[in-house]
Amino acid sequence: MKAKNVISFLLVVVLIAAFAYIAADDVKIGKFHVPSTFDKEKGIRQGLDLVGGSVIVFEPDVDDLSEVSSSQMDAAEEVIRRRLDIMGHTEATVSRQGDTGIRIEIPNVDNPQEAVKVIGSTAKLEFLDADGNLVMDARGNVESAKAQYGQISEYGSNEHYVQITFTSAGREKFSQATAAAVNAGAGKNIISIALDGEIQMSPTVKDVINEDTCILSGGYSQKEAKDVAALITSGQLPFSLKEIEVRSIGPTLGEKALNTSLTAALIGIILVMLFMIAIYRLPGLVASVSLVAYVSVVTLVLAGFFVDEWRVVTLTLPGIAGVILSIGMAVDANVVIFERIKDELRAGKSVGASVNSGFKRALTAIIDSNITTVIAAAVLYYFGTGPIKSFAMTLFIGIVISMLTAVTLTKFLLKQIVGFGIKNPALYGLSKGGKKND
Amino acid sequence: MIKSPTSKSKIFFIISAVLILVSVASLCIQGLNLGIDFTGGSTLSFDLGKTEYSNSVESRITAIIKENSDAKDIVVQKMGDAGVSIKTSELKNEESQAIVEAIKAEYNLSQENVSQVEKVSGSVSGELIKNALKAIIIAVALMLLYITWRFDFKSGTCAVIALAHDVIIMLGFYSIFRFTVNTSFVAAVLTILGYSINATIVVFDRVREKKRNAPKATPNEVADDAITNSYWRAINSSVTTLLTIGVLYIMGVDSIKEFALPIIIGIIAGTYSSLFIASPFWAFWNNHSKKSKANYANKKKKRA
Repeated sequence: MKAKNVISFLLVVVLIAAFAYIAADDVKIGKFHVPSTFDKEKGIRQGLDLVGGSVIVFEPDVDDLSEVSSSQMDAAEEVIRRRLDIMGHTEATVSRQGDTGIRIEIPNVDNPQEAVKVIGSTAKLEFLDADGNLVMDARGNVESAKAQYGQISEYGSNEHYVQITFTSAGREKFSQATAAAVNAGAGKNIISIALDGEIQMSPTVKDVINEDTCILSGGYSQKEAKDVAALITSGQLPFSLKEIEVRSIGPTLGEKALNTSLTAALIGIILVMLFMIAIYRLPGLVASVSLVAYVSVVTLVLAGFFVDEWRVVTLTLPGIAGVILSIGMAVDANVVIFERIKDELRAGKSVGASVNSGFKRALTAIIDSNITTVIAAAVLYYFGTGPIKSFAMTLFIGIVISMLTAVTLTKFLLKQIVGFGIKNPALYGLSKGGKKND
Repeated sequence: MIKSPTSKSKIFFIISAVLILVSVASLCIQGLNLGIDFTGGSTLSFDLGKTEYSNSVESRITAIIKENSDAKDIVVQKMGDAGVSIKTSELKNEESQAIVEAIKAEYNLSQENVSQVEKVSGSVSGELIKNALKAIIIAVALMLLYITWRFDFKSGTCAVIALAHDVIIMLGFYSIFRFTVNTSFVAAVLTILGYSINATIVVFDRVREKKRNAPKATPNEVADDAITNSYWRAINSSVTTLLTIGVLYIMGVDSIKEFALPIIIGIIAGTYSSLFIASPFWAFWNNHSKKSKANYANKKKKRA
C-alpha cells in the first residue's frame, strides 16, 4: 500500500508542477509552444485598466431620448465603427450600453480627449452660399475624402488639405451650385464648406466646376486633415453625441497596476502557505500544494487554455482582487476541514478515520457557504457593468474551481499521506497531548 | 477565548450597538464622501515628473483649471509619490482638453504623464446608485431564501442582521474617515456580503449539527458550543484572507487600495459578527420566542 500511495502522491505533485509551469512561463517543446498565461497576445485578456486605454460612453445629445429609434442607434454605432477603423484603432470594440448608450473601448489610445472629440463629431458636411443658405450637404453626394499634402493654389505653399470625391449625383449638384454662385455675381460668388456648423473655407467661384473632386482646406495640420477626412468618409451621425462617461488610463499606470498586483498576489500566496504549514503541519503542506494547483487552473481557465474562442473573461483590477479573494476562500475551505480533523483527533479517533470524517463533516458548511457567495457573485454579474462584471466573473470561476482543488484534490493528497503510514497526530496540527488549543 | 459567549452576549450587543450608532450618526451628520461615480464630475491625474508636489503647485493648478473652464468644486490633491489628482464638477471635453494642455505646458510634461482622465455625467451616476441598491437588495433576499431553505428562517434572519451590522460599520468607517466612495466600494460591499455570510454559515453549520446531536440542549448551550468550536476556524480563515488582501493594499496602486481597504474593514467586522452577533442573537431570539419556550417546556416535561 505504501509504495502505491507514494507513487500516486508524487505523480499528482509532478502533474501540478507541470500545470504551474505551463501557466507561469513560456513553454517550447519542439513544435509545441504554449505561451505564458500573461502573454499579451494569447494569454488572459487584460482590461484597459491594466494595459492602458479609454472607455467612452456616448449618448445622443437630444432633448428626448425616447425619440431616438433603435435603427438610428444602429446607424450611429456603424458610423463610429468605421471611424475607429479609419483612425487605425482596429482593436477597439463598440457595443450598446442600455438602450441609448454606445460604449467604446479603445486600447492604447494616447490622447483620450482628442479621441472623444473626433469620434463624437457629428461630421455634418455642408456647402453654403454667400448668404449662408444650404446648397448641398454630404448625404448621398459625397463618396469619400482623403488627406493630401501639396500646393492648392498656383502661388501658395504646400499645405495639408482634404480631397473630397463626389458621387455622380453630388457632381451634378455641385456643378449646379457653382453655376448659381457664378450667376450671383461679384462679392456673392462664394461657396463655403462647413463641418459641424463651422465654416472651414469660403472660396470664390469664378467658373462652373464640373469635376469629381473638390478640395477642402482650412489651415489643417497633418493630423487634423486625416481626422477630417476620416469623419467625412465615415459619414454623418444621425444625431450629435455627448460623452456621458469617460475612463482613461495611461499605459504606464496600467502596467504599474498589473505588476504590483501580481507581485502582491505572489507574496500573499507565499505568506498564506507559510501560515498554513505553521498551523496545520502536513495538512497545511497539502493545502499549499492544492493552492498551487488552484492558482494554475484559475489562470489557465482565465486564459481560455490559450484557445481564442474560450478567452471570454477580461481581467481587470477588480478582477485580480476577485481572484485573490477567492484564494482566501479556497484556503478557508481547507481551514474548515482541518479544524474538523483536529476535532476528530481530539475525540480519540485514528488519523485515517479523522481525515475521512473531517472531510465529510466539513462538507455541508463548505457547500452552503460557497453557494451563498456564488449568489452574491451572480447578482453582481447580472447588475454590474465593466469592471464589476469582471470581478464577479473571476470570483465565480474561483469559487467553482476551489471546490475542486480545496476539497477533492486536498482530500486525495491527504489520504495518500495517511497511507504513507504517518500516524502522529501532532503532524496533523494537534498540539501535544491532544488538548484543545483555546 | 471566551468559554460561554452567550453569557456575555449583552456586552457584544452593546459594543455593536455603539459602533452602529456612531456609524449612523456620522452618516446622518456628514454623510459619505461620494466620488464622481456617484455625484458625476471629472477627475484628471498626472505624473508631475520632476516637479515636487507643494502648496504652490496646488494653487497654480487650481488657477489653471479656473482659467480654462467653468469648473466648480475643484479639489487638487497629491497622489502617490509624484502625482497629482484633480477632481471637479463635470467638465466639457474641450475644457478638460484645455486643462490637460495647459498643465502639460506648465510642468513640461508629455502625454505619457497624463495618467488618468475620467468623466461621469450626472445621469450615469443616478443609474449606478439605482443598480447598486438593486443588486444589494436582491443578493440579500436570495441569500435569506437559501439559508431559510438550508437552515431555518431564524438563522437566515440572524445572518442578515449580522450582514447589515457589517455593511453599516463599513459605511460608517468610510463616513468617519472621509474615504472616497466609488463603484469599487459597492463591489467591496457585495464581496463582504458573500464573505460575512460565509463565516456565519460555518458557525450555523455547527449549530445545526449540535441541535441534531443534542436535541435537549438549550439555545444558549447550542450557540456556545458552535461559537467556541468555530474560534480557530474564524481566526485562521480571516488571517489568511487578510494576508492576501493586506499585501494587495500595501503594494497596490490607488485604484486597488480603494478596493482593498473596505474589504479589510468588512472582513474584520464580518468575523466579529459571525461569532458574536449572529449566533448569540439566534440564541436570544429562541429563548424569547413563545413557540420555542413551549418546546423546551414540553421537553422538560418529557424528561420528567
